Amino acid sequence: MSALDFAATVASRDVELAFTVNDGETLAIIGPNGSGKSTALGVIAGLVRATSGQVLLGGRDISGLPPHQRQIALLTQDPLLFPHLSALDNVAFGLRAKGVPRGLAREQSLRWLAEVGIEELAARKPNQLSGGQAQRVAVARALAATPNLLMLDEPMAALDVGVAPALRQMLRTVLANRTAIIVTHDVLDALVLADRVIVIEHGRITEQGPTAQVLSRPRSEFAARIAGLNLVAGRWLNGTVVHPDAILTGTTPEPILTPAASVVAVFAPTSVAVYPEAAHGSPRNTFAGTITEIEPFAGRVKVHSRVGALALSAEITPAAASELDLTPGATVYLSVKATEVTIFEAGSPAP
Amino acid sequence: MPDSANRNVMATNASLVKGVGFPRWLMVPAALGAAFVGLPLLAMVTRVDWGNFASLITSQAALDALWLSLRTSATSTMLCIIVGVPMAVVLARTQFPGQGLVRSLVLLPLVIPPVVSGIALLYTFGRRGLLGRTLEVLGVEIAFTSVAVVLAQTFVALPFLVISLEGALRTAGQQYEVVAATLGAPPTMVFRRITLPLVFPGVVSGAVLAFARCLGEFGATITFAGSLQGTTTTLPIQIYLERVSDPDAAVALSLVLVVVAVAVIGLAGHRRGAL
Repeated sequence: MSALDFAATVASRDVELAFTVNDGETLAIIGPNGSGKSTALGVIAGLVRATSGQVLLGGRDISGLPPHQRQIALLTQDPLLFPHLSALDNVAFGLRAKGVPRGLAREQSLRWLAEVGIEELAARKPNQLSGGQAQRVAVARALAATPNLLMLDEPMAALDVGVAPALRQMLRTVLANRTAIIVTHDVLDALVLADRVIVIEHGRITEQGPTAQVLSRPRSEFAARIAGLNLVAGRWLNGTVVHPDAILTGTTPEPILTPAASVVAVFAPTSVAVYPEAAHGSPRNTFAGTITEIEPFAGRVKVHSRVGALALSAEITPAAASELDLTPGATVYLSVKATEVTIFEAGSPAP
Repeated sequence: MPDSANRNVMATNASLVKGVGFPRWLMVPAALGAAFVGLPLLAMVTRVDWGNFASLITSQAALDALWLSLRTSATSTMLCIIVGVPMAVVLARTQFPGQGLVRSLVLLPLVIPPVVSGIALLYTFGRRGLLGRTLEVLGVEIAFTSVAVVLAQTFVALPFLVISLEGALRTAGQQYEVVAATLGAPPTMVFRRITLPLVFPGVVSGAVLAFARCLGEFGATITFAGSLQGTTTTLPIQIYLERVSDPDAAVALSLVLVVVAVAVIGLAGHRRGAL
């Protein structure tokens, strides 16, 4: 219905990109500052003129349309609520633009405010809202305009760390089955919200694929720097993540309510300890692995290993590495504390 | 809510903050400047013949002039808003070749002597002017009528509104307009529901400046519209005429003009503070 097919060059900013977003899919775009992420969103929204290219939305060429006819909502890190309108009238703006009568528009807007959990703030002016509340209103305003494509440009970058998780959880709900693009710096956003990730560096796509694959086995330099995380995808059973080759316990920042939900356990290679024998710690979160590769990484040593079908890596000090006498093919025991493992419900529900 | 509460506390505290201070010696030239503006006003007030003040300012000629000044200034300010707001939007929101030239042209009435403006208007709308002949054929005569007063005032006051509003538009930026467009609002709706409300204080302050300039207009008016009591003799012209024949009346009327101007600025300033 509303799949996006995008290909464009913007010569003045040395950006040349082509990608698609399937109907109902959420695509995350990650990349360094100035890599062309926001330029891509600008071209799609009709705010930046492309040197050449085409934007197809739902099979229709919208390249020549002005922004207000594109049915694409754009949410930025600054909520940009219209300062002279109440929260309710902000949300109603898109409906009024469509010609919905005032009373009906307000009624529907109230429902959207309820959807993002701040119905009681409807009468507030934007300067009476906190950053997190304002961003919720902005989300409701974007959704109320019933866009065919929702674009989020670092929607949580300006928020307090304490507020971000709740907003992320809310976005997870509203983005389900919605065609959306989220530009982000935060691996968690991609992990929780996106089905697929593309990495943009210097105006070109350097990597793309399913979220878990890009974040756990990054090939591009940028993704490796911000990600390179250990990811174990499994089912949520008895408070553990169950994978055919490993069972993990960890912490859940947001409660997981669905029984047997499809979940992802995430932990950084720096929190993985490597032992020559299986004597240490609890048997849980300890895995026997085969070393596949050893490489120096940012002044430390990165140990890549295979646990059944899982690829796990550990980052240890050079001293520890020489003490362990590591060689590819050797068997080691990898261990991670439960407090270092974060468990999320996966971005897309398992089929 | 805690955020906005904090912000209010901050705002309250801001008035208590001493800041980093400023060079104390700046007070001297600043005080001199204030005295330079205030003293002549004071001097004028001391010369007012308070005994006959009421009769001086209620003479038929004085009332005619005051009424004409208020009427024409209000009309001119409306005209300035009607054409000045679109001019400011075009200058602030578009880029076209020769835009700098157009902007200079719009600002020209600020820097040329009003008498010159009057002559220019005369050769445009006067009987032998560029458009005057065509207008005469149509049976319309402008020079030396109240319409000429309005045109002269509009001509000199327009730049005040355009500059002030263009600045407000540039400061406001286009970010809210962009959001409104992505929410599906066509340009006219964006202008009406977003742009105008956001720069409304700029429109008000521009209109106040323009009104004040209209009220004080003299040179262009007397050149282009002349002086006919009740038709083209505005308050400043009346004061100029009385200056020789009846200095007491001139001083009394000057005070009236000052009071009206201060009232307008005060009223608008208050509105703006409330916004």
